[in-house]
Amino acid sequence: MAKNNYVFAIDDTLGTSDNLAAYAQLLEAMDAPLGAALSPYLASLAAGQPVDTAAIWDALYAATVPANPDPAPPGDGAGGVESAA
Amino acid sequence: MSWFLEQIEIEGFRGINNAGAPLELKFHTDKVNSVFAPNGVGKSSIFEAVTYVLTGAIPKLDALPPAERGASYYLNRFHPAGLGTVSLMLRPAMGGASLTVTVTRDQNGTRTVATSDGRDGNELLAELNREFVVLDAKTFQNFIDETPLNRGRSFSGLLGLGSYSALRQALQALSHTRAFNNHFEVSAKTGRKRLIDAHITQARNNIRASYLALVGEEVGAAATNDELRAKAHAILHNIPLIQPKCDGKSFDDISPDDCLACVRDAEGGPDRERLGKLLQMETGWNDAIGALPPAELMAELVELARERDAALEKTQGDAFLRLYRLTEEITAQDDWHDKNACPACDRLGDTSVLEHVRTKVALYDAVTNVSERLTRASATVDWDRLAAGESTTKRDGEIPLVGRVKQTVAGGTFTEALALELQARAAAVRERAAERLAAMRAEKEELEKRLPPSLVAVTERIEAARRLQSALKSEETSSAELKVLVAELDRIERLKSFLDNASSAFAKAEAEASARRLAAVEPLCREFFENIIFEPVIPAISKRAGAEDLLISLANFHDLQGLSAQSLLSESYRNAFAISVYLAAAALYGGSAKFLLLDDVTSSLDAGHQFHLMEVIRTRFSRPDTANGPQVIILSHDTLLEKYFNTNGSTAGWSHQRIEGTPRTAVLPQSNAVNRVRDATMALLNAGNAQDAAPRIRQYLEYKLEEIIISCRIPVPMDIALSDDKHMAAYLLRAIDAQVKLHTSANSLVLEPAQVQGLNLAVATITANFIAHWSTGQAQAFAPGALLGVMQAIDNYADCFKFEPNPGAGRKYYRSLSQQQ
Repeated sequence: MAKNNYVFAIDDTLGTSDNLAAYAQLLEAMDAPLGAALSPYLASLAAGQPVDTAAIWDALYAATVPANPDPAPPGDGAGGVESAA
Repeated sequence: MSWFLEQIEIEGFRGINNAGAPLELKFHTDKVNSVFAPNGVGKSSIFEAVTYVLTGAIPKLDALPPAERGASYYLNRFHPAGLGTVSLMLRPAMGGASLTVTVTRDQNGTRTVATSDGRDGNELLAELNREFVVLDAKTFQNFIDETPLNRGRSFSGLLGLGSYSALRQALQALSHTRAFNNHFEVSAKTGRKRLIDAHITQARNNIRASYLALVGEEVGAAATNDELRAKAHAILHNIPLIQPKCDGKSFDDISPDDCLACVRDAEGGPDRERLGKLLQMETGWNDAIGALPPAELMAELVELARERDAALEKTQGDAFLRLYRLTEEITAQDDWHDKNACPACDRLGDTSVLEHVRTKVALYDAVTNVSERLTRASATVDWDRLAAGESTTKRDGEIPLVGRVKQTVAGGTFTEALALELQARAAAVRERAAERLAAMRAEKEELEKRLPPSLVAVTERIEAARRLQSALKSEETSSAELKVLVAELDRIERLKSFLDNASSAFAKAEAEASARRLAAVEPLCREFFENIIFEPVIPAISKRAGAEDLLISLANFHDLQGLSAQSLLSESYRNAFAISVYLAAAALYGGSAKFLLLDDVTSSLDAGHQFHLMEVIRTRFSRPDTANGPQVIILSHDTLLEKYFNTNGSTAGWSHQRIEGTPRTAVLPQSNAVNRVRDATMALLNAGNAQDAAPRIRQYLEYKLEEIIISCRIPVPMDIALSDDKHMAAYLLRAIDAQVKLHTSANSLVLEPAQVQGLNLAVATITANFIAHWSTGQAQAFAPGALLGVMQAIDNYADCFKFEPNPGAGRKYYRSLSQQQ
């Protein structure tokens, strides 16, 4: 992911839940799976509830699993001796 | 969606018993509402009940020492069921049906929330719970006295940014690099990756060497492992002696031992067998030496351990680190003005304490940094194989070292001395292994000279094939492991990058919103302050970009600029400053709660400033004068302020009510509920309970006397409102009596002679049986039977000021003492 080029602005005419929804959209634009995984936590984090960072990290990490991992080519080794050096 | 507060019902909570008959207070949504109560009657209980409904807590009770058992005082101590119930009836500001939120608390402290329309009550209350909804004088004092950081956090809530501030902090915690890396063991994984890379490099070197020995040519630049296998298989298969052992098998499945057996069978003897073993052992020692940590790595470990020892030497343990961090936190605050003053011992030095502790904390950070580098470097050591090498080359009496050192590395107690010892041991293992290898090679060369060259060549090729098999397997296993690890590190890096970007974007948005809203609040705050104080004093509020701290100061103080608000302002002005900030923020950034409950917020103000504040609320802040303003409910015990309430209570934009009662029995509003007061009093007297009935008789008597005074337009002395509750009724009776006598003397009294006689009789009963004892506090003198007579006398007394306009039309008060209607 590129270093931060994402811009979010709080809209004073909207309530907290609407602004959080807009922020959730930005998160999904940054990284769809991670955005979708973090968004459900936003309301409770904004409510100041105690943060179990470890649990959130684990949930987010789980979201980074590729949806369709590429299977290894059958019968192929790790490649040429020089190619991956 | 925003809500007005239409009604509060309270039973069994704090100072309000009202068992079976909750205190009901109705509020007008399009008026300023005021509620007056003498001390000890339950006004603050109303405030605390609403606070509990919104926040789930009463801070002053929760802050009590455990021995005081503050939690057990949420409920009224006299309520028979031991259950507190508070209901808020809310009406949508945009119109629509009202709903009721009912919160209960039982003796175990269990809280339940229910709504009349089935919606999530907790969610609704969370929306309503904004910093300015329930305000008391303590809130304002705290705002001024707080540290800039805590004030800034409160202010974020005032600006409607509290939830954003909480989210920003949570996101910053999630993207905190050190905590993140610790959770995902990034240092250990990075070191592991380096180790696997080294394994792969060694395996590829072994592939090249064994392939050259077997096939007689260099590995092609683009050759795949499968191509190498095919070529190696072909070479072995072309050797007639071992061809049967290669037929129908893949290269990996060919058994070098079976092949060597063929050679042994072709020309048996112990020399052949020994040559085969030497070749295998040569392979094993080559691998073992290749797996030993290189001298450069050992030197790096020694240097890192030395650096870490030196860094640790400059620190003083975890207790001092905690001390330094706490000192830094305190002295870094803006309100810690003299940075040379030590917060622990109050001594004043010549240098900055803040700079000193920051230097100390930096020393601990240096330890952490070098420890992380040491972890990464040590993870690249193949400890198991080093330990195996140590075991194989061990001399008699030598104590194993590697396993012990590995534990010290894991436990963070690896020192330079141990590193040097390990470095020497690793060098010794390498030297001994090299000596063993050289000896084997010498023996092998001697044997090869004695054996037929052709079979020697076959044997060497079989052993080269064994090495190639092993190297290919090692390279592929390590590559597969590396692939998994790299994928894992990529995922971790992706997650970190995402959190950094998410946190950064949100922090920037919050800072911009905060600056924007602060800029809007300040002018209105100044306007409010000016109209409360009427002095050439201008408050100022500011925030540094990116910081949470909120700084308060005086932009102008009698033509002096940029002065400290905390230092210069009197308590009343400080409170006026805080009130102005809160009102301005609520006016501009009100949320779901379109109402404010103010409890004794004028306690530090003199009468004039009380009046100014009330006028600001009435004319510049609240509905109805400010059409989009919030509904304001003011609670007060101040008798001077009650005069203001009474004056405005008769206007269209103000609603005033007064409550009376005791914590033992019930608190009831005087207006619109006088019959309930009377009924409750009669019930108590009929039950023989004179003690609890007496305060209600006072409440009923005062109400009826005030009703007569207001209805008959009887003038009273100005200071009568300042009377305490022991003497108010007597003064009211005296004022009425004086006017009756005046009109009698002037021959203008409208009362009939029988009514005048009735007056005297009623006054005698009321005075002798109630006021005489009440005013002296002799509650034990009350007898239920006599007090029943007093209640009747009160009604009789009031009836003396009434007439019947038409037969059957009901009795009404005279227009005045000299005019019937």
